[in-house]
Amino acid sequence: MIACDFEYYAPSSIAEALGTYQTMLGKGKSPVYYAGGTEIITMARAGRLRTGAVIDIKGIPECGVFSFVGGQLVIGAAVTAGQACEANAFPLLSAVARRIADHTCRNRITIGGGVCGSLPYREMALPFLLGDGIAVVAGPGGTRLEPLHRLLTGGATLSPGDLLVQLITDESVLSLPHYAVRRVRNSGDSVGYPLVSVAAVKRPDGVKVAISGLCTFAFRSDEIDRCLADTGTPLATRVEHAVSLVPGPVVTDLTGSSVYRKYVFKQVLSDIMTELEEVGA
Amino acid sequence: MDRTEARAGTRDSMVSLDAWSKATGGAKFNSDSIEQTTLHAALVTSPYAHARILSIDTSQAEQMPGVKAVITCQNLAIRCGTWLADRPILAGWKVRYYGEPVAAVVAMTQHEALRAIEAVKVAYEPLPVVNSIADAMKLGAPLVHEDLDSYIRIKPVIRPRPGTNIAHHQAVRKGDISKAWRECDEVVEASYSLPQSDHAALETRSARVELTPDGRVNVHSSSQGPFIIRKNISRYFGVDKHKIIVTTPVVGGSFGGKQSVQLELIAFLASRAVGGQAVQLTATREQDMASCPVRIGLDAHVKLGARRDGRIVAAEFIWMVDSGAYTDMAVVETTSIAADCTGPYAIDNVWCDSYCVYTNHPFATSFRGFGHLEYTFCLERTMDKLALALGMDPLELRLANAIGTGHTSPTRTPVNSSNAGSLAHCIGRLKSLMNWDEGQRIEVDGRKVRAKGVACMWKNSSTPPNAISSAILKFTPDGSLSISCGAVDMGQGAKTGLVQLLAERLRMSPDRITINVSVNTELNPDHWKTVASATTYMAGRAVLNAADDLLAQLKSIAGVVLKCPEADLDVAEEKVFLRDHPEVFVPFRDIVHGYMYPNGNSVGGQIIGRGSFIMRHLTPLDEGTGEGKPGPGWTVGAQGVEVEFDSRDCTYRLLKAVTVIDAGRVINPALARLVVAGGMSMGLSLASREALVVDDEGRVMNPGFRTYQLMRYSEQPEYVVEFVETPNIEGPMGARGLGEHGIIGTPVALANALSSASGVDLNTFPLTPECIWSRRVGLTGDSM
Amino acid sequence: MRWSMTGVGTLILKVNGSFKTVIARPSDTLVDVVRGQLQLTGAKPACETGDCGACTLLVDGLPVKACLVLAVEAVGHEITTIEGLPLVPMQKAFVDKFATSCGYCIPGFILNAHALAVHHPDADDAVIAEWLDSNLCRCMSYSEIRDAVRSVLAGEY
Repeated sequence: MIACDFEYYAPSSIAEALGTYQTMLGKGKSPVYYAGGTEIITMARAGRLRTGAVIDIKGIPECGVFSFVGGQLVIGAAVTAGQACEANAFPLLSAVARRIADHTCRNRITIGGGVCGSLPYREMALPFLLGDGIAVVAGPGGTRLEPLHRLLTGGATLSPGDLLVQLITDESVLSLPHYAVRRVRNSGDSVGYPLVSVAAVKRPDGVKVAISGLCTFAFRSDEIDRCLADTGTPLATRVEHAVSLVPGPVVTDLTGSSVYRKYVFKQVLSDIMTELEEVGA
Repeated sequence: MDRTEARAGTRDSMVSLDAWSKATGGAKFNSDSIEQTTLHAALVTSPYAHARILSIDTSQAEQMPGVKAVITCQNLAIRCGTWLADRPILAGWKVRYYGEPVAAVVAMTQHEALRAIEAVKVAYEPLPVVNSIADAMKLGAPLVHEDLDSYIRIKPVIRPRPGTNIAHHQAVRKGDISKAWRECDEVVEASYSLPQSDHAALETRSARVELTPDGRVNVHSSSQGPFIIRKNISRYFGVDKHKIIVTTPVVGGSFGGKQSVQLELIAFLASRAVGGQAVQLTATREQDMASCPVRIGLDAHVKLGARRDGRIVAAEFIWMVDSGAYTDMAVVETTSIAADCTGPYAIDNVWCDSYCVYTNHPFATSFRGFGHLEYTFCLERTMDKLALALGMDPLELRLANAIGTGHTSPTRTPVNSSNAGSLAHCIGRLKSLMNWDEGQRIEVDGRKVRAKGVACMWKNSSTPPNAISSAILKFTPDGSLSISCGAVDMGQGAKTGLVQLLAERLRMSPDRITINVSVNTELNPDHWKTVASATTYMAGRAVLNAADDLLAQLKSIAGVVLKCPEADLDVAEEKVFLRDHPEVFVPFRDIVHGYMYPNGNSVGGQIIGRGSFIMRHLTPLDEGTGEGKPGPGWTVGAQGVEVEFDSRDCTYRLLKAVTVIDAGRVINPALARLVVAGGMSMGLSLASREALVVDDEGRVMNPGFRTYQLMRYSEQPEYVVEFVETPNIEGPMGARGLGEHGIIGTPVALANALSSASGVDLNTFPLTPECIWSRRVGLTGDSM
Repeated sequence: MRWSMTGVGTLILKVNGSFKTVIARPSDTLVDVVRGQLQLTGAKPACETGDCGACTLLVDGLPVKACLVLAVEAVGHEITTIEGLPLVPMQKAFVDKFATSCGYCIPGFILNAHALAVHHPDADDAVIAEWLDSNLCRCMSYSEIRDAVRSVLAGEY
């Protein structure tokens, strides 16, 4: 049971959502946009989130879009992981999304929540990072397009009141050879936070990887990609070097220690490179 | 009438009587029937593992909307416990574990109660934390209980050591240990450390208490021991037992964790504080795992000595039970571990010291296996080491030492095939079911290896020497009947077994017999508590005694009706008939509510059978030697686990788990398999992933299913369960208890398989890939 | 605005085919409301973090964890609880295969498995596992549940 009270708003347009946000902000209600709700409800129950108003974006038409427009796949922020998997228009997204939480939860967990929620993993972002995904962000200053990687790695941020509406992926990305590996604490588990979750695509200039679980943020690193692309160097050396290029401390938590995470990360990278370097070779 | 048509009640896989109500949502658990007028309580719990309480300010909380009362125990001297009264109902002058209840808020609604707990201001002064058994046993260690000597000893067998963190000690001295060591050709020894974990029953603990104006105390609780709740409330609050009515509906899993009396006492105080109104207190999942009692931890040192032929002649054990902040049932488990410490092996010379140790961890209570899965882990890992040292096959070593007729237990109880079944037979079947002869370790490819581990186990149903169980059988006018008993249904199927036992004894269809689902201490006859795998044994004996009472009454009235001696009569198919002329009979329906002569005159009355059972010839263990008889007998078994291990990353797949148990007599094959496989599954989950993780300050870091992960559907191996049937002459129809045994040897069988597969000596669990990997690369530190 | 709720108020929910009026706070979850107000207690609040599946309900035919849905969000959707299942084959299969045990997790398991059978009548073992990994059972070995689900998918009912 959630002890605290909040108000609930279900706007029917982006403008209404933004307006509601500002109104609630003005009333000191620390509003939050709400889509699948899995994270917000869990945190509100635990007392780790205090909000006076949730703004449910599921009724905003743009947030529920899942369609191809002019050579681009447009996915609304309120599309659920389950819907994305069923549609399977973006195979790498399906592969990543179908390992997040569990099947029933995926009927609520949304793409938008998975990309910009407050949990550090943000695994849902990995396919979009690899696909040079563009975020459609509506804010007080109007709607703008931001490369997703800039939003996630600090180049740009979602300001209070900004609403992630959609994610746009170029159609050409969807058919790239890809591979995703996710490892958790226990041997057989299908469910649980990741020790390491790595998604990869093969582009003409080499394999690109996006990484979650290792640090307190999900990331792509050009340095790691360049290191891995150096096919003149033995794979083991490249992988060893790639670990040293991780752009932040490797975490120790209930899922695993940092030393073990690095050990697993190396194996995962090796497996991915072995798998993808053979494709088309 | 053809008597061969009489339908046997036992040996059928009869579906559980309550299966349909559970499959349709009709089954009502304790928190499913809360009246709108019921008040709700919520707990304020300690954020520290060990701290002095400087002050508790409830004034702000009392002013919150909907709040009726805020209770604390700072001025209440009551302390509770099982053998030792060491636990306040709510923390008094200090907290002793993270999550310990400190205060309770009573409010109109649950969310108002939850909101108000944040307004209860508690000032703490942190104290040094006793964060492990090693910490606790150090000279000069901080004391969890400074006033140990002042506590009431509820049972005289408790032996606390004031000035230390030792709450209890039980020794076992058998044979001549120093002489025996000199006879050994091989001696192996090893140390073990197993963390606490949680029962994690899906239904969290829940209690509702109401005090009525006429002095009655109505308690509704998700408990394994409604009669124990009655006893506790009577003891602590001075209420006559007949005025305490405890109702327990179906229970959503318990595994030993719901026999502690904790929330009921808080709810009692809460109700008293609001003039007796009904107050509901349901633990959140987080509280159920940290504030409510957990499974013991165990540190151990095991030393085994054997002759070259594999005969074990000497065994030395030091067991140190992590009881956490309070003793509850952990003291009893400490004794139970000592009593069965050799496992099902005939060892003539035994030296064992079993300690119950206080720490600033959550307090521990009984858990499925009652200490046996923990000590069996240590013993059976050492057995594998001994086999290696002797160059002997692990199963052969176990077979060579299997206990049997002519041997004695560590507490010097003579063992025979009735009270201990046949372990040798179980080992033989296990060997075949595990395909043991193909080898214990088989390389699959460069990376993967398939490996098997085995273990043997036994467990006595240790109970108080005067534990009782009773049953009342009551006919309806049409000749069908109902059983009334005090045993709780928590999914183990024992009550369905009681119906089958009665059907067999009366030679009638089990479809014509019902049994109470819910237990009510006012309406149902007493049953000690639903624990110790003893329900079939105790309640089964009570039901059969009641059936004999019923049969005598049936024959008595039928003798009058049929004008013949009772001795000439027999009973089957709801008829009483002449043995030699079955066509001469009277149906039950004509006599069970009195018999009416053609002229209307009537004799007899409603036939009600009553039966009771009390444990026989049990004695507490001697303080110095451990001599005594703690239970009526053992169930023995042999277990195995097969895994596929990936040597690169130390992950593994569970392929197969096997258990062979000497059940004495299987009453309901499907339900017997269900409960044994359920135990095995819990054992695999426990050993592969479960532990309460505490940080350096003793705070529980993973109370909740997100981070305290249980095994899920897709991870299950193939389960093979087989039963050997060496009758237990004292058991109902020859049966033994089964409820706990599936779990006991499973964790160590997994550890033995993984030790063999990885080449790493694995002396702990949970056996996560990281745990195996870190030991392989020589790291000692684990993740948090 | 499609809809808003700023404090305790009435909601009309369509549950098991009929409309029910409930009084709720905006922050009340669906499991709180169906249990507390409609006495549909088959859904169990066993973890309240979405990890165990004991509160699983069907919303528009799909399984969801009712502890992670606000009651107000369920307005306009079809909610099915275990009490509303018209004795479907999955229930009989759970009974026949002894897959009930303590019974606490069973309503959630049955609703999830029933939805699986409706949406994927040809599900193979991998799909069954993907769906059923959403629910925890502590008493049983899951093999009984597996047998029940397989038997329904195999058309034995």
